[in-house]
Amino acid sequence: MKTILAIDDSEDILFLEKMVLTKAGYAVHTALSGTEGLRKITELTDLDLILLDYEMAPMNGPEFLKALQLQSPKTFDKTKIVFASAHEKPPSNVTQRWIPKIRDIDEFIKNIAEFLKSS
Amino acid sequence: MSDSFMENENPNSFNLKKKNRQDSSADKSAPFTWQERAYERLKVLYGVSKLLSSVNSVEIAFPKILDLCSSSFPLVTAILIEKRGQETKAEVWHSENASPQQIKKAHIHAEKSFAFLTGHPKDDSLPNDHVQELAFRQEKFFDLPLVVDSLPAFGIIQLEGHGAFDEKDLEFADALSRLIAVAVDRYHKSNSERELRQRESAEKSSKLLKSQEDVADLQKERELRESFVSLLTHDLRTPLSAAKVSAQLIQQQSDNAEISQSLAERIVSNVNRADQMITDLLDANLVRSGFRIQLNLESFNFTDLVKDTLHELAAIHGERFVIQGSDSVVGFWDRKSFRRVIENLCTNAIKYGYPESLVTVSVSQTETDACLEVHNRGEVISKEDQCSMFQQFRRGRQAQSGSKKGWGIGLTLVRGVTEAHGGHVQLKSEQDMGTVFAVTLPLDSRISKL
Repeated sequence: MKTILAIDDSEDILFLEKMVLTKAGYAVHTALSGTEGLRKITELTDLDLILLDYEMAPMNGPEFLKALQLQSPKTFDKTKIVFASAHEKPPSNVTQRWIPKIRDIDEFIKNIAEFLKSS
Repeated sequence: MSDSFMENENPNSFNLKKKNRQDSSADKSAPFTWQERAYERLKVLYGVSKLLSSVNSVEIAFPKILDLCSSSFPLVTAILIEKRGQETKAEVWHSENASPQQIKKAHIHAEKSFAFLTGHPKDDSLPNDHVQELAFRQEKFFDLPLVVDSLPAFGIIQLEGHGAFDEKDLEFADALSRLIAVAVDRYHKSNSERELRQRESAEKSSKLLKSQEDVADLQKERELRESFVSLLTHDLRTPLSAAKVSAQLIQQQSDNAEISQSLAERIVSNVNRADQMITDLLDANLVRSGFRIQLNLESFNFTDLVKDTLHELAAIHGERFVIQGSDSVVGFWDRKSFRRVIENLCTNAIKYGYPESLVTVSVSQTETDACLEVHNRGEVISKEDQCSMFQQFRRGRQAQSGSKKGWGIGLTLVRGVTEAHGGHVQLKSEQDMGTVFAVTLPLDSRISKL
């Protein structure tokens, strides 16, 4: 079973992501902020994917990424990280590591599965 | 000029240089014959004509004209008085031998003559008989009116000879004054045309500048609008997506009533959130268009509303709010609108204040007004930003450059709601005291609503 850490500042989104991904067969952990995410990462040993909200406050997605690289370089290197946002298109700096934020169950599960398969 | 002069001189063989050379070789002390004098004067008139066409101001030409004249038309003083609009300007020329008294006397005389010729003989010091003769030949002074077609008023040229002028002198002076008058006319027309061109050019430049500013403003407005629309669609999509996915989950597991109930609640709260966003946007547009937000006025305790709202906000932002001031401030206001005002000001104070710093909310009242102050410590808001902050889509530069999300309509709403109540909002931001948004509104807003 693949393990996912979802980080988002919206409690609703986190709740739904967890429910949908759990139903799809993933082990899901959640964090309501970047700071909480950094703390949880230290407790999680086998993490396959970090699903990261791009626009969070106070620490946004890219800021979280930098902090993670400093705090846990090993996790940063071996874990797949994908940004999610409610925009139509990915922000220019994360084109390869982006999926649309959850807005349809089937589309979301498909996007996550494809990203996990990609190298 | 007399016919005899024309007969004696062949105009086709006019060679002033040649004549000049002949003159210079002649005995300077020998008196001029009348023909020589006429020829000299014709030369002078020709020189004056050339001179006048080479400059663009009679002030520059006048002393040079008199220098040219002095050899064949000896003068003690010459004064040009010109009327330009409300101003009168005098140009004074004098020979080397003229005494200061002579110059002063000539100047006074010229001014009196000018006053007489322009119809303002107010000076009683001038005897009547003297005044009447001013326009004609005098013992020493000779005044010529300067009639200019393009100017409503005119000037005079006063010449002062060493003795009485004869008829030939008068003819010469007359010719001289006509040349000067024509030149003044031409200068005036040319100046008017130049001024017109300059004015037209300045108007064009100013129009161009205005257009450029308009384009820049429109461009800025467009950018603000585009970023606002992008943010709006992003923010609206989040609750709508949450509602949709919740509904899909209910479809998929209709057997679990508890989960279905929880999901249904999420649908309602997210749809309400989206609805509130649209209401905020419509109200902000109303304020921006100069209309008042619709109010539903009722009597309530403002402090209680502040307490309730802060309690809800503390659930999201933590215990960062301190409330102080009066426990009971009762009046007539719109409860729902003021909840939005408190939410907006307090959320901004958290968003832009220093992390973990406290936000102080004060409620007080005077005899006529209620006052709400929201204070936070954080980056100072520049004076420039303070002015534009209450406009729709405008967010301070600090807010724009940071990672904080915002539509830029919150403060527009705060202003709109407050003004609809007949109140006003003030903003103070200083290094030492931090930032304070102060909302003052009448205790009974029913009066201002009328």
